[in-house]
Amino acid sequence: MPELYKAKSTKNKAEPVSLKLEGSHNLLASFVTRPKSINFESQKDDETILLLVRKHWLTNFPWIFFGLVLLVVPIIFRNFPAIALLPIKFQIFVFIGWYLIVLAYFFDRFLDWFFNVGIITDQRVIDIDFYGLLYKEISDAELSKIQDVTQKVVGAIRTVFDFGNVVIQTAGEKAMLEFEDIPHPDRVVKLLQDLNS
Amino acid sequence: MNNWENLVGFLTQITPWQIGKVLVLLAVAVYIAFAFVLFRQVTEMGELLKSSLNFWLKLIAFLLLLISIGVFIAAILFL
Repeated sequence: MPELYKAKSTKNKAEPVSLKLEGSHNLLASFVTRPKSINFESQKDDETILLLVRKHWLTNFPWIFFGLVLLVVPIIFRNFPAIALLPIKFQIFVFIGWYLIVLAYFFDRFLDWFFNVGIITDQRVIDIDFYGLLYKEISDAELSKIQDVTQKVVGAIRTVFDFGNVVIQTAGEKAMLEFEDIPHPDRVVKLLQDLNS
Repeated sequence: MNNWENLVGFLTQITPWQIGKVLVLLAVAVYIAFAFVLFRQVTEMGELLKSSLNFWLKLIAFLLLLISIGVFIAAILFL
């Protein structure tokens, strides 16, 4: 059937104010605006990444501190009887084994931080979660399906360093997406509201 | 009966350090499996989220795997 009438789109095509906010372009940052050298598997040709967020750098402190403690453990326990009684060959292998475990621990924790990201494009929101080595979850929702966006900043540290959770309620297959401990949650909420309006 | 005596003779010759060597080899073998899974996972993560850092992350994961194989070989030779 021929189209008799087509209403002109009244949507404002001007870029939302929140998109002009400053952010880092560093790939190791937690709040990367318009990353140039990042793309994701299901990205469409006409889709542009506006924002990539991952957990605030301060959330890495516990595992970095724990890892540093693990690094000095062999130095502290060097003369511990159970180790000192071993032949020197076994002592060397115990130390090598220990540092291999610490190395793997650092690397695993870093990967966990680096690849757990939230992505906001000009078309949708994507939440990529990796738990440990063997579980991954990728959820996405189109911007038009976003129903409600909430920010949660709980506690003194989060308030001082300006990071918290952003909860996105959607009408999509997955009812809720959550970006945990991301920097500037208020900016993310504002961006999503602007994109959705 | 002769076999039984051979077995008993073999078991009595085993030293605690030989048992230690087997345990070290087992532990390193488990670590190699872990390093392999880590390498596969980094590759998979890198395909999902492509960035210019992925090459370095894959390299680190691969080196970890190589080092663990090297430690396994060293344990066989030197322990």
